[in-house]
Amino acid sequence: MSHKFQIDLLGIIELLSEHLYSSPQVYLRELLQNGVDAMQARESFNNDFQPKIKVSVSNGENGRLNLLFEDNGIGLTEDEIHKFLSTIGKSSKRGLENIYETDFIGQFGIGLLSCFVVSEVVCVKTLSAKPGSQPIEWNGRDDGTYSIKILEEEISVGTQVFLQCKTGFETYFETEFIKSSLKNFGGLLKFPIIFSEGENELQINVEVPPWREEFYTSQEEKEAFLKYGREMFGIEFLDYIRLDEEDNEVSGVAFVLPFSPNLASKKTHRVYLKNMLLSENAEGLLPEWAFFVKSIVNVNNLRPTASRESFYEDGKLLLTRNLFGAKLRSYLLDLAKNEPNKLRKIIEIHYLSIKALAIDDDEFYRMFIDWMPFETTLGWMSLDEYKKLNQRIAFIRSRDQFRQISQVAASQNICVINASYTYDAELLYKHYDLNPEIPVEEVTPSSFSREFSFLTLDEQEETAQFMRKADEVLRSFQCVSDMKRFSPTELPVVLLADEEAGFQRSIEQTKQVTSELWSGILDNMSLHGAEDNSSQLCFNFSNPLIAKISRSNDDYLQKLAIQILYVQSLLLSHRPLNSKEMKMFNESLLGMLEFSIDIGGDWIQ
Amino acid sequence: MSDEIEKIYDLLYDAYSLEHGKTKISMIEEALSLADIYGDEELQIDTRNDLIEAAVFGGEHEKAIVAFSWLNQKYKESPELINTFDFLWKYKWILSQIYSFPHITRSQIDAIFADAIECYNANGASLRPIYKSLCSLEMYSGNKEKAFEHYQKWLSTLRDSNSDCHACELTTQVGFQGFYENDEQALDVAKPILNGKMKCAEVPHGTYGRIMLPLIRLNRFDEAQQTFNTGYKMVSKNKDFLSEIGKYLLFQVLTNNTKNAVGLFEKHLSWAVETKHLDERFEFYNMSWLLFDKLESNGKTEVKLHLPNSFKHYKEDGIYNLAELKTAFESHLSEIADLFDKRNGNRFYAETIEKNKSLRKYAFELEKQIS
Repeated sequence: MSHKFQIDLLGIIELLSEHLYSSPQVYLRELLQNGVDAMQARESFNNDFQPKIKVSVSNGENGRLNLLFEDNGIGLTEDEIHKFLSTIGKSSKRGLENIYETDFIGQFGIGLLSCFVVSEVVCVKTLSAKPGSQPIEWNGRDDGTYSIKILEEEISVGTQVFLQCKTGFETYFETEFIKSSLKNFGGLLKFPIIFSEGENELQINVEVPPWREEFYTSQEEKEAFLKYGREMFGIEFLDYIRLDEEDNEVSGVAFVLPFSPNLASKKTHRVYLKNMLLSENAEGLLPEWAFFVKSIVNVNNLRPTASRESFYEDGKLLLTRNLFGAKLRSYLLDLAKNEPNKLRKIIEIHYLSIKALAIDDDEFYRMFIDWMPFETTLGWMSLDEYKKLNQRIAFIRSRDQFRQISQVAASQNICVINASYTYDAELLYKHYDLNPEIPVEEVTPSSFSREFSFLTLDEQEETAQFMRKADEVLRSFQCVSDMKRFSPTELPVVLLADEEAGFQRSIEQTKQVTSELWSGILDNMSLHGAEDNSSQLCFNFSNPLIAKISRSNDDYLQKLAIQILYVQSLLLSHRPLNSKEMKMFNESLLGMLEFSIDIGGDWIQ
Repeated sequence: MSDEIEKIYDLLYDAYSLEHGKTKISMIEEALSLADIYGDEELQIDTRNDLIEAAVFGGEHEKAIVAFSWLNQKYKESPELINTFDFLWKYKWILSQIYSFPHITRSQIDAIFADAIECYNANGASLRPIYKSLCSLEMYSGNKEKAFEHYQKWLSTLRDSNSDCHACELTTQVGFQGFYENDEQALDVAKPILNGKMKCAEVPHGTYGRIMLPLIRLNRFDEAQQTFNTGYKMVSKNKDFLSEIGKYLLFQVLTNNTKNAVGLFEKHLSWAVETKHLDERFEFYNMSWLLFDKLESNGKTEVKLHLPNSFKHYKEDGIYNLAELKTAFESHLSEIADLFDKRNGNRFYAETIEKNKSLRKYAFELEKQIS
């Protein structure tokens, strides 16, 4: 024999209020949604019906606030009440889905339950539009019981919901709160939402979104859209892009942000589903690359997920996303042709969006790539400017390595692009695919140092002893040395380390402070490295000090100098010293001091 | 505030605004170096915490391990300086991928788990996330029985605030069921994630990749196509998902969309080359081998590829002989397999190479071309 579950309504309400609904104010959204659904259902039977929602608040017995929410929709019959209103988890919308599938969006079937979060009793008076129906009153209580009776008074077709404010929830029954919530949820609805205060009746959704208006001049249109954006988001947007389609399945606007958004944060848009607010933080409706806009959109045919923050990834969503993508894309293409100055301004702020789109879109790439800014060793410049200065495109992939070479490169007028930012390396490789006549080359610090001038054979001989000394000193630090000529001449040495060398250094440094277990692990981690992981200390023979020291005959002085220069180069490239290096540094500094005292001993005395 | 500290905060702030990836990691590394030079203990801790997060979500776990080993020491020496909750949370991340580095010995791994369990117990934290990591460890080490044992323990241990979120746990379960070819079950477990009822920072991104093989094995290519359309985009910019990307490459190979497959291979090979997660390189190389094999069976002997010069077999003219590529990848694969099998004391990886080759049998010509 099978039994039915007993459901504790109070417990469910508690769960709902704590978890499902982000804030108790959603009871207003659910009431509105029920009303909208009921009216749409009636509309499909009756063409000349004038839908209307009316809300009022009054002071009831024992000083509690009461809320009355009325719609003139299709209403419910007694059967429907038993079936839908009193069965938790079931919604009339689901039962009728074959008939009105596209008209019903409140698919969560728990709308009325949310009223119990703010009210201990829910009273519903309703008269169905179906012929022969009688007016009915349903009284539900939060202990899970309900009663139902046939009303003797006459009421018009539709549904009235009465709520009585629970202690502690007064905020949610305040006039201003209700008005602004209704406007927030239902601002786009096409029929009137009336709030009545005594004698006064006020339509809440009186403003029409600009895409439903007609404008005589483009200036007028622009002002109206930007004003709307300002009111909705409090942002002075740079521009707007209309997203509406003639078939009205989607409508709305995308606003161009006046600042570059934080890429790590979610790209969020204000989305309405059939003119009811679905979410102020919807994701996934616009293409990934479209982070330069913030949009307000109404869609009619997409299916939201239960969290209401996004839509089911289905073909319809894909179509909509592609449609919006195409609109944004043609906006940019149009600017390039007709309003280059505006485009320049947008690129300054939003080049990342444009780069992201260009990666997968050849036509767009060709159109925009030359405008795109890149950071180079000679400062920021557009790719076009870069190509005017250089025969080939040279880039470096890692930020750290770019820093290592940038001073030297700038001084020698070598222009290398910092392609460590998202998309850059990929975009530059794509340049080669589309324009093979311009070579594209990835540079590393070690390949870069090959550009330095070699010493003459004589000079090499002169410095041979110094170089042997350098190798001897640096070997235990996993560092090799070289002597070249480069500018700036004030720079005595430059430390060039490929990425792997940096990782190995961090292991070395950390190992010295960790326990046996972890240093053993770090030791083994270092085995994962590439074969060539040493860094390179490149001395600058054009630097007078280096020229002098390298020709010196004093073995001890050379050793001290190499040690100090090595440590200095580490610090210049922001590399913390490990204890071994620190020890060496102290010794060589003291040695140097002693050395100079010995030389200048007479002066000291 | 001194200039140095300001510079450190600037770097951390800039890094925060970036998507996960190399540049973010390298900015935090720079901040960390400055903090070390400056010697400010609090900043040394903060920058390491940031680095661990960026490295874990940017696919460079090795950097997280180095930074964590430092934090671990600090925690032992002066626990008052470290936020315990944060520490236990990060420890979980470290455990979750430790098996990816075959040079770390099994006894070292066991010792780390023992240390983590001690820390968790000392703070009264639930061991649930540790059993989850143990399950993954045994699974990827080819110890099926033990993997099942930990799977049970994981799911039967109570959650607490330190446990992974439900969506993350489900994704691991999907991976587990798929790994043991309980394909229907894997898809079943994935349902609440795929229909959008559950998500988090890493979910559903990783979930789509994990249902790819089950869908292929069940011959449900239309759904696999949908999964590709939705899932690939989500992970295509993050190295952390290299092994999922391998699955998408496989799908393109099996549906004979060789142009797309070559594109994926070219685009992501540099990640596979540079990653220190050898298990992920292994996965990507396995799928790459299937691509070469497919091209060969389509009658080609050579292929023109645009590959990064960090690739060991890089050729300037971009013309690669397929038979040579296959041999080269076979030898890389068996090198990696040797490292893992030696550590794990079995032949699991070597057998995996053969098993992956047999995925050829699922080849399927889709009528639809992929956009």
